[in-house]
Amino acid sequence: MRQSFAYFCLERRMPVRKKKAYIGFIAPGFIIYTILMIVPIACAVYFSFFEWSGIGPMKFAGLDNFKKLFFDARMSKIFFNALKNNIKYLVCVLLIITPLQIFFAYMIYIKIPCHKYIRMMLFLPYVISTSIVGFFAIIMLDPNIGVGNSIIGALFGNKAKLAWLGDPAMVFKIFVMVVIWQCIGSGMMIFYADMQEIPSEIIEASIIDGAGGWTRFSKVVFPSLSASFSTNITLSVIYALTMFDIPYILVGPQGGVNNKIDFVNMVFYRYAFGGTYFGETSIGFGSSISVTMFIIILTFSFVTRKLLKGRAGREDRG
Amino acid sequence: MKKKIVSLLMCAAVVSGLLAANVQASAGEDAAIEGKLVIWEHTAQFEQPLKEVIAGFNEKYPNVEVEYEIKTADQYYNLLQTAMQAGEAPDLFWTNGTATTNMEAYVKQGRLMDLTDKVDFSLFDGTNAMSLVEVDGRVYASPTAEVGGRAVFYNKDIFKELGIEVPGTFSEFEAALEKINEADYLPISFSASDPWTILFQFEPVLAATALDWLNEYLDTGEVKVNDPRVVAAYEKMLEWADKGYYGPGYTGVDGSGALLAFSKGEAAMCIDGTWNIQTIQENNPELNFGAFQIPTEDGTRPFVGTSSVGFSVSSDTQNEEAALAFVNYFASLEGQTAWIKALDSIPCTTKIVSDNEVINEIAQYDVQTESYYSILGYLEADGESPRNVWEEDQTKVFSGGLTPQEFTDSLEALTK
Amino acid sequence: MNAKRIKRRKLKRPGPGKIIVSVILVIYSFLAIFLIGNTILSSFKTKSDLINNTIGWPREFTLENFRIVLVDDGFLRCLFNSVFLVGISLLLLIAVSSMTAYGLAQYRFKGRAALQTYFLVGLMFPIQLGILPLYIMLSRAHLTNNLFGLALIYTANMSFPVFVFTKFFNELPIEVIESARVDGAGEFQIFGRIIAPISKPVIATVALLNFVTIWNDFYMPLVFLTKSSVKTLTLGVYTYTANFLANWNKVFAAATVALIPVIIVYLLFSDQIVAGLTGGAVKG
Repeated sequence: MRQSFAYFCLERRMPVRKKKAYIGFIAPGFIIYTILMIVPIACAVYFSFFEWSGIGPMKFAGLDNFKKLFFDARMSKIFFNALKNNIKYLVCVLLIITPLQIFFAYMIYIKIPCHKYIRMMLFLPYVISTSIVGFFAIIMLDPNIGVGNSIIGALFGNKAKLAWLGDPAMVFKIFVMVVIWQCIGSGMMIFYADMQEIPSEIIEASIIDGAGGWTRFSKVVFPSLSASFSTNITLSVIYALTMFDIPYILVGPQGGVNNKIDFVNMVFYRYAFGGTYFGETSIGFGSSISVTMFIIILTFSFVTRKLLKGRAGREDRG
Repeated sequence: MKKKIVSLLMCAAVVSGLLAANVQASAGEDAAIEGKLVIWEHTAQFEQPLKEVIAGFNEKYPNVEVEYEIKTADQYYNLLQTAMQAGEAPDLFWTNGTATTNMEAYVKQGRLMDLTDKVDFSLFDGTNAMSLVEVDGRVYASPTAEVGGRAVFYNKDIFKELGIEVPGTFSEFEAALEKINEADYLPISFSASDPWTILFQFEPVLAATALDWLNEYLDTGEVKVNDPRVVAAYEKMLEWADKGYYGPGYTGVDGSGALLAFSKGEAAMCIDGTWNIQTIQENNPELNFGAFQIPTEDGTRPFVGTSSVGFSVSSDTQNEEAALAFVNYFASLEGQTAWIKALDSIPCTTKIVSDNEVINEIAQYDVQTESYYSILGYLEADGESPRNVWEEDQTKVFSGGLTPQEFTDSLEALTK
Repeated sequence: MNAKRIKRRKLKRPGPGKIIVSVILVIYSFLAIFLIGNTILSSFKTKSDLINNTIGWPREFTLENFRIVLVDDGFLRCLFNSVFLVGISLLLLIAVSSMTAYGLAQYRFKGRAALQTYFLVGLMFPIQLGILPLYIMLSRAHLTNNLFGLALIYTANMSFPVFVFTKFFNELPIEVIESARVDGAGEFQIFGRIIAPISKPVIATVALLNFVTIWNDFYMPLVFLTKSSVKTLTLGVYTYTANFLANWNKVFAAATVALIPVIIVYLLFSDQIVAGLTGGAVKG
């Protein structure tokens, strides 16, 4: 490392060589990242072809782990149900969370009353650790002692009290709301930042043209968000497909009532590391879940990339 | 009077002198064993008892430095295997014995020291604690004297207010539930979001309604886990749910939420593991509560309890002498007395006497019987374990995802 | 001039729609205030007060919970460890990931797109999956139970920072760099003297987001920091939450100790997040 650094320092006066400086910039990150991130992942890919509990001799199993995941009557049901939930959540992100983020960002951008305070408060839950959020969930949602049911009980009587996370029809909605509460701030900030970039002359011109609030948003502000769109969508796709923390703290590793908020990473967690007390660990099979998911995420990322590029391309032409 | 005090003082002086001499002597003997031990425990619930045992051990073996680490139950085996794989296994560590497959796997790979004849387990003579730590007749861990039982905890103030006595028969128990419900108290705070809290209520209900089924298993070792009597026990719980005995949203209650509602005095009863007694008492020292077993219709009080496991010794330990000294101390009357008292749990032997009133109430049962979950383990065939499927699917019986019949059928399909 | 006046007028008199949205969002924000405030208030309650008065103002303030947590149970040590761990992790992470991103964004070379994707792979795997090989590597290097060793792992988890930095550096005005090159500045000089200063906002953003992640991380310390001398705050909090009901007076005090620093840091730097993401400083 040090050698290459010195090399580039020495060569810096030679303009042709300069372009090679990227090696010096990238190398430290590349080495640390490869050793401590990629190598462990590569090991996991390797493990996925073995029947292995995590200890003792490894038994080569070829594609058996994957076969079990896709075709075993029981297992495939669990896996595809979880995958369905991941995709359902991704759809919620695209149809609810992202539009909300843009809406909130726009509200702050046009400086509604108390916008500074609102900006701060919308982001604040993001800094709270998920384990404390899990505790908040008990305070709010527990059917016996939670604030939610106390309010309902006081207003409409005990019979109207809800099961909240225990209700198969509600649990996914609550999960999405908790995500909105805790995580909406980060994406919102990216959109807001992008709005700040819009040159004020353009906005002023639109005002002179007499464009109303909605027209201004749809014709001027929205089109200029393409950069933050691609950032947010790329990250959202990855987060949606690796969802784990929030459902885990809300309902534990079992995936909630009737597995309504079971996600692939939770299936991985259960099968790789065993249940709470039922300790049958299966690193080999668990790895095959992650490898499958990795391929799915790559595919999704690739598709979104193409779609976003296509969109940008059309805009360029237009 | 004065004389008496003086003589008492003298007596005390003599005794303490004797004791001091004794301690010195024993310290002198045991100071020969020295070194460092690392112990892993799987959940923070056992931190306090472990601390007490270590303190007692260090009085005897002052030159052994004992360090303990508490892991999380979810991740425990993964962390343990990672450490083993890296050649850094702790000297002593918890496993769940033969209740799960892990300990047996470690034994097969030679990771555990054979403790047979090296440790004195006479404290457990006449109990079935040893069955949990033996593989092929050899002992690979020390049991503890704790019996993890299930019990009905009840709020004495609410019972008194409504004029309810501790029920003597099953119909009396159901009548009490109805009476509490009519008085607008929550009869039972119950969490059906977690398979384990369901189990700890289901097993006593099963024992009270289908004791003959459990006895059949104990006599013949063969039963069907989807027997109509098992299904009926689930149906009974669902019936209670429909009548509102668990409150409106019991499928959404978290395990600690159920206990909290009870310890806050908002529920008349809570049916759960006896290891929660200390938690309830610490959470609300002012709660006036007791415990009983759900009786059968003829008035028998069955008790479902399972033994529990302490620590195994790693075969890679650098300090075998100290590790064995620790297990010996752990398995001794003194060690287990400290463990049980700190844990406030039910001892499997009468040699240890608890001073906790609630525990002594629980100890008033007529027959001890087997756990449904354990039976699933004893009967499991090769291939996928019914216990695993049980853990995956148990909550669905209460959320409407599976009927009791469908659920137990899927378990039966995986047994021998 | 005219346009400016119109704009100002618009801003000064918000329409009814804006007021409604504002009121709704302000009411919504009370939820966070309630939850955080209740946690902090509860940390001053006695045990029996907590039982009968779980939500609400303490009947009598007590500092006993904090005394037990901070003094008896050694939370001060945990606090120090957490601060130290976050400090060195952020330093390493930002230095390494910003350089990497700069290399990826400002140079055109074969395989650049592939390398960008390569650095995203870390986001696509559950971190728990790689724990076994990771543990073996670190223990061979004698870096377990070592805050520096864990900082290296956090540094390796650089996918997101590299992503954010790359986005930022992509937008850099090329003229600034070109003119520096013409002046004969070396590539690393340009990075250190010109790029780093104008990147302050984005550095602050990445630092804040990763501060939150590392400060709140439980899993990695659980695996790699097993000795009590290197325990972090999240591990300390866990010893209470694992048996939450028995310790719940301490849980609130411990949670407050863990929560306050991160909230303070956030309040101090919240403006930076936006600035960092806009890259407004670049233009200025």
